[in-house]
Amino acid sequence: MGRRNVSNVPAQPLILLNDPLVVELADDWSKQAAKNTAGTGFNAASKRIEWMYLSAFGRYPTKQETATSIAFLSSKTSDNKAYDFDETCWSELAHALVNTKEFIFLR
Amino acid sequence: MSRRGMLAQCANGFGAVALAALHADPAFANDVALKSSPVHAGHGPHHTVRAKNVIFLYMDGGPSQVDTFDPKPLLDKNNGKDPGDLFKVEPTQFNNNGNLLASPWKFKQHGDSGIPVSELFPHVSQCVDELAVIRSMTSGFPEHTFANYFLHTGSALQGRPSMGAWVNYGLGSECQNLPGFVVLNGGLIPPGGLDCFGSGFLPASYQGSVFKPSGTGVANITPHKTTPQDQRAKLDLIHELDSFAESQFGKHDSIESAIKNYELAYAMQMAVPQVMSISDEPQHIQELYGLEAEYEPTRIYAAQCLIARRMVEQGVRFIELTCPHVGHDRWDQHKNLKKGHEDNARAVDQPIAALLQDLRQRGMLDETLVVWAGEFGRTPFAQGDNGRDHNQYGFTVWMAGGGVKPGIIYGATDEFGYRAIENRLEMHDLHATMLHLLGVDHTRSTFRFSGRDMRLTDVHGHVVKEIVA
Repeated sequence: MGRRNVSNVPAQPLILLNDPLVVELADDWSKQAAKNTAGTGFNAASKRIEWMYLSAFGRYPTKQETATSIAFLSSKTSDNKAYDFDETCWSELAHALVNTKEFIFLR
Repeated sequence: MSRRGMLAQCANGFGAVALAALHADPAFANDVALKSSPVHAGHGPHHTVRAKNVIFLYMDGGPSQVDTFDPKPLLDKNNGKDPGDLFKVEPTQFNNNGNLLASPWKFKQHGDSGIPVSELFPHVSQCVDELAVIRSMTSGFPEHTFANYFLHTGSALQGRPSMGAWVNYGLGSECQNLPGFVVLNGGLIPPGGLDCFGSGFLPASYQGSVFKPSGTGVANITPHKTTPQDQRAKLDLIHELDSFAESQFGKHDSIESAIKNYELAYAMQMAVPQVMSISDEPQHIQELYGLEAEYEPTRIYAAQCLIARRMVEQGVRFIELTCPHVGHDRWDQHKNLKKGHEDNARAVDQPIAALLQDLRQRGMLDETLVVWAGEFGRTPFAQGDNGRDHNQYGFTVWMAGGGVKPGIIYGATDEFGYRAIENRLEMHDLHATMLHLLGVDHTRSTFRFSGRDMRLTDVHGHVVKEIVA
């Protein structure tokens, strides 16, 4: 025996997906990211994603991760050419990041 | 780097050590072991399936056999006598053993089968022709926590997979949008805690999910400030990001289960409110179960039983009901037997009878196995002057539906109701028989862990063919 099994049921994703506190905190975090990485355009967006990865995971995002995040942000807005994503887009990305396995599981 | 950042990074470093330790466990990280571990599908049925679903009515605390389904006239006759003059008395948990204590309740035979039931169950007694009453159950343990693990997992040790987890491991879930193993918690969590419903060494997704029988059932089931489309897009992003990270993590059971749990959680947002909406049930059904009963614990258990039926309709494989709190104690009357057993019986009697009738009327009882059991029984002699202590040497459980022979009594205790003397059963036999009815050969439902092919029944267990229809 000896293996301690942590609780692992759908109740946990439900908290991280739907609990108002988690949603609000992710929103706050995205605003902090915006404060720390002002500006618009592709480079500014990449910088902000980088800031979020450093803040959440203590590492830089890979190119693939940045591209996927930008694609997600773009899908949230009708005008994606300027990479000038609004607050809601960033808040959604922030909420997604706190739901990734890398955020949930210590590694 | 800030000091705070430094500490965070270091903490992650320590986490990495722990994860490396998990990876080193050959049963989990090793690719070969993972490929052979049936995370996605169990072994499936081995033979004819009699029961597709189980509703396990767990009677927390240990109801007294001699006060419910096992009448003992000699106990009346010898009321107040020293039990030591009549039979050998083993030490009990509190060892404050008094004299023989006649049951405060009268028994009457019911139905065509003539099975006797005490006055404690005026409603269930109307359903005795559905029951296989097993009067010769035993447990190996006279204390709640051990006995609860034994009843739930087949082992008195903490951390083994629960019956519900085994059943889902073996047969898989029939339901894509609800967990395969649900615990409808009426209020009391058994001694031994949530480990009674754990998945142990089985993949974590087989763990029991605890639902409340009121309101939304599960916390945070309602999406907050989002639309289904936005939420779906977010989940797809999470999956994509996770798939990049997988190369760094490696595959891990906990992570695989967590990913599955996200999909299940998403689907549950629709399914749970539907299955919980018992107010949609017709008035006569709500009344039948006791949703409008005067006694609050009855109303709670009524909701549990009705939700259980609705979950069976949705394909939930294994549903366990824990007892509501009746204001003083679970079925564990070390004193005040009369009040305690009356309140506990009052809470569950009408809802259980309604469940059996409702399942029968809908043609579902034939494929739904209902099991009523506590972790042990109680002594026929008193603890103090008006209670009964724990007794693992002989007690009553019953089964109904799902391929069980209806209207029979199996096994017997001695003339005082103390020890099982005829067709004595062990917990493993109950588990083997439950699995048998579900189409599973308990000797072939195994999971390799710790160098052994582990089973719910360990190396024990006999199918009780006599109670199989």
